[in-house]
Amino acid sequence: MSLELIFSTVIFLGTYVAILTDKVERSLAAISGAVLMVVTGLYFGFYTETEVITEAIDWNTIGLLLGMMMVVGVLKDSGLFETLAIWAAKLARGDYFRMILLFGFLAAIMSTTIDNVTTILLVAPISMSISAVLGIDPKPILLTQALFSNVGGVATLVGDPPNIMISSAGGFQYLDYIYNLAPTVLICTLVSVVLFKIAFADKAEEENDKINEEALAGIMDRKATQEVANWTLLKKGLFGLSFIIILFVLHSVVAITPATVALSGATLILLMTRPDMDELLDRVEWTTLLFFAGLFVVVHGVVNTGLLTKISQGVLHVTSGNLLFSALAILFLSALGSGLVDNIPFTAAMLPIVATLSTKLTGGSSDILWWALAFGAGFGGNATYIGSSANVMIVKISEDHEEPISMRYWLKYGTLTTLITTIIAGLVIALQIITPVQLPLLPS
Amino acid sequence: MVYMNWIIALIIFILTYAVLFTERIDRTIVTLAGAVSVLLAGIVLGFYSQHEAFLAIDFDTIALVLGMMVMVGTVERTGLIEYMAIYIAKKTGGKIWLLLVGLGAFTAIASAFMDNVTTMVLVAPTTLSITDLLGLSPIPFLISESMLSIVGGLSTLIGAPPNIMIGSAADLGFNQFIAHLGPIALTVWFVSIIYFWFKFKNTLPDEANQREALEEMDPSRTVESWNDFRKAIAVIAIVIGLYLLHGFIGLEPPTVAFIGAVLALTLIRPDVQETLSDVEWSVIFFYSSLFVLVGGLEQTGMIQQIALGFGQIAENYPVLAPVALIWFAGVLSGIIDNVPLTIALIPVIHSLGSIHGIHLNSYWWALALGAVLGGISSPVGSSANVITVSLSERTETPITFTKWIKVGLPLTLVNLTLASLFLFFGMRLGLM
Repeated sequence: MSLELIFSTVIFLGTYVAILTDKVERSLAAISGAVLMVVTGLYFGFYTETEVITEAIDWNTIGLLLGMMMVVGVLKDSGLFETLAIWAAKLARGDYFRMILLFGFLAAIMSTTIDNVTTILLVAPISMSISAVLGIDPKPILLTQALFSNVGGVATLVGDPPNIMISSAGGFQYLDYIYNLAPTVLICTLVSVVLFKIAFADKAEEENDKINEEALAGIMDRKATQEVANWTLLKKGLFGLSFIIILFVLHSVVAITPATVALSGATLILLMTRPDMDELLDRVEWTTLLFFAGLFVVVHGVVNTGLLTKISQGVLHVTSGNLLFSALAILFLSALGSGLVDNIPFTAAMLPIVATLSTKLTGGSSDILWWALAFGAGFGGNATYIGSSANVMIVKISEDHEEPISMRYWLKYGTLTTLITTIIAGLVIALQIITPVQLPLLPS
Repeated sequence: MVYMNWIIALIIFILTYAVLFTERIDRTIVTLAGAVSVLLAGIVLGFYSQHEAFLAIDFDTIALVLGMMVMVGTVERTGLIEYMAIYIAKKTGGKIWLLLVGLGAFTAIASAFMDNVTTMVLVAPTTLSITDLLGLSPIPFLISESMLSIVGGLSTLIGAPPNIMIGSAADLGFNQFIAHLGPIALTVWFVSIIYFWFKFKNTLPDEANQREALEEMDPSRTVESWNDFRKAIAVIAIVIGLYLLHGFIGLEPPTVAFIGAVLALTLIRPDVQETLSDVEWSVIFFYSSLFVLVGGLEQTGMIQQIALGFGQIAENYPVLAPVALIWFAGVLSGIIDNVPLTIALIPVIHSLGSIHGIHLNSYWWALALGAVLGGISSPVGSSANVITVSLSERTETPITFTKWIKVGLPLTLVNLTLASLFLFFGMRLGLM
C-alpha cells in the first residue's frame, strides 16, 4: 500500500463525501479536491500540471455541455417550451392520466436533446400552474416528468451527462446510442406507462372528478402558440437545434466531434440572434462545468495511483472473467450507486474501471459493458430523490408550491421504476450476450 | 494543398480581427465564430482537430486569469481597496499634488497584483467621491490613475494580460518579470508623474478648499466585516508570498492563483454562486476563442513561415529588431486591444526561437513593453481606459477622445522611447 495510493484515495473519498453530504457547494468541493489532488500528485510525482489539461479533463464533455447550455439559454426567451406545455395540456382534454402521460412524454422527448434539469425547469412550473388552475393534485404529474426525463435521457448521446462522459471515454457517436440504447429505452418507457396506468388508476378516477370544468374550458380555448414570445427567435433557435442534430447524425460522413458540433450550432444561433453575451453567459451553469472539471481531475489522480485498477482487478476476480456476470454486475451496481450518489460523480469514477474491464473481457469486440453502465447510471437515477439532479429539482418545485413530494412517495413510484427498467435492461443485455447471433436493435 | 489551408485560415483570421476592430458585433461572439470557423475548416481540410483546438487554448493563462478573478472578486467585496484609497487620501492632508501622487502610486501598486480593470473599477468611484468632496475636477486624477495602473501592471507577471500570456508562453517566472520590467516600470512611473505635473499644473490648485471635508471621510465605512477584511489581507499576503517563491517551491503561477482562489473562498466564505457569476466569463471566452483561432493558423504552418521571414531581419539586426518590436507592438496596442495583439504575436516570436543566434527573451520583453505601454495612448488602448472613460461619462466632466489623446499620446511616445533605451542598453550589457 504505497503512501501515494493512501493519500490519493483519501482525497478522492473526501471529495466524494463532501459532494454527497452537500455541506459545501459541490463545485467548490470538486475544485478543492482537484487542487489537493494535483498538489499531492506534484509532491509524490504521480501527477503533472500539463497532464491536468491534456489528459485529465475531458474537454469534449465540457465543450458539449457548454454548447448545449448556450443553445438552451438562447431558446429560453422564445416561449417555445411554454407553447409545448400548453399544447400537451390541451391534448390531454381534461383526462388526468392523459395529463400525466403527456407531460411525461414531453419531458422524455425534450430530455433526449436538452439536459434533464433544464427540461424540468422549463416544463414543470407550467404543469404546476395548470394543475393549480384545474384544482388537481400535481404530484404524480411532477414525479412522472422527472422519471420519464431520466429514462428518456438514456436514449441519446446528449440526453444525460453519463452518456456524454461515456462517449468520450469509449469513443461513441450519436448514432451508436440511437442504435444500441434507444430501442430498449422505448420498451422501458412503454412498460412504465402500463405500470403507471395500473398504479395511478384509482388516483386518476379520483382526480378526474375534481377537475374544475370552467378552468378546463379556459385552457382548451387557449391557443398554444400564444405563448410564443418571439417568433423570429423561435425559428432561428429551432434552425440551430436542427443543424446540431443533423451534424450529429452525419458524423459518419464528416467526423466532427460532439463538442465541436454543439459549439458550432451555438455559434450559428448566436450569430443569427445576437443576444446579450453577458446575460447569456450568466445563464451558463459555470458551477456545473467547474464541478465536472474538478471531478475529472480528482478521478484521474486515483487512476494514476492505481486505485481504480485495483478495483477493476477486484471485479474481475469476483466475476471470474465472465462477461455476462460482469455486465449484469456493472448494470445493477451502477443502478444502486447512481441511486445513492448523484450519477455524475459515480459515472466519473466508473469510466476508467469499465474501460479496463471492457478491454480485458471483450478485447474491444463488444461495447456491452459500456451500455450496461449507461443503463445503470441512467435508470438508477430514478431510485431515490437524490439520485438525479432532475429529481432534486422536481422535489424543490413541489415544495415551493406546498405540495411536497416526500421521500416515501418517491420510493413508492421511483424505486419501482428503476427496478423495472433495470430488469428490462438486464434481460436485454443477457439476451445479447447469450445468443450467438448479434440481435438487431439491441446493445452490442 | 498547403496553400489552400493557409489562405482559408488567413481569411478567417483577418476577417475576425477586422470585425473585432469595427466593434459592430459583440467581441465574444466574433471570436467564437472565428474559432469555430477555423476549426470546422481544419476538420474538413485536415489541418485541425477538436482535441488540438482545445489544447491550443493556453490554460495556464486562463487558469491564472480565472483564479485571480475569483480571488480578487472575493477580496473586493470586503471593501479593502476602497478603504486603502480613502486612507491614503486622508494622509495627504488636502495637498493636491500629494493626492495625485498618492493615488497614482496606490493604483500602480494595486494594479501590479490585480488586473487593471478591477483596480480602476474600485479606485475610480472612490476618486470621484474624493474630488467631489474637495471641489476638484476629477479628470486629471482619473486619467493619471488609469495610465499609471497600466504602468504598474507592466511590472509583474500577473499585472497585465499580455504579461500573463507571455509568461506562460516563454516560461518566464514571477521574479524574472519584476527583475527585468520592474525597474523600467518604476522609471516610467516617475517620468509619468513629472509629465502629469507639467500637463496639469495649471488646472489644479495647490491645496484643496474643503480640507476639513476630507477629515470627515471615514474609510471604515466601506468595510462590512473587519474579520473578512483581515482575512483578505492574509490571503493577499500569502498569495504574493507564493508568487515570489513559486520558482523555489516548484509551483506554476496558475496553481498559485488557484490556491489563492480556493483560500479566499474557504476563508471568506462568500456565496459561491454569486462569486462565480462575478467572474467575467465573456473575457475567458474571448481569450479562449482567440487562442483557438490563432492555434488554427499555427497548425497550417503559416506562422512558422512568417517567423522565418522575420528571422532574417532578426539575425541581421540583433539589437535593433527587438527595439523595433517595442514600437510595432506599441503602436498597434493603442489601436487594437493588446490581448488579440499579444495572442497573435506569441507564436511568431516562439518560432523565432528555432533560429539560432537569436536571444529570444529580448523579444519577449519587447513584446510586453510595447503591448502594455502602448495601451496608454488612446481611450481604447486598454480596457482600464475604457472603464475609466465610461465612469467619467456619468459626471459633469466626461473625458473625451481628444482630451485623452492629448495627454496619452505624447506620454506614450516618451515611455516607448524610455523602454527602447532600457532594452537597447540592457541587451548591450547582456541583462535583457
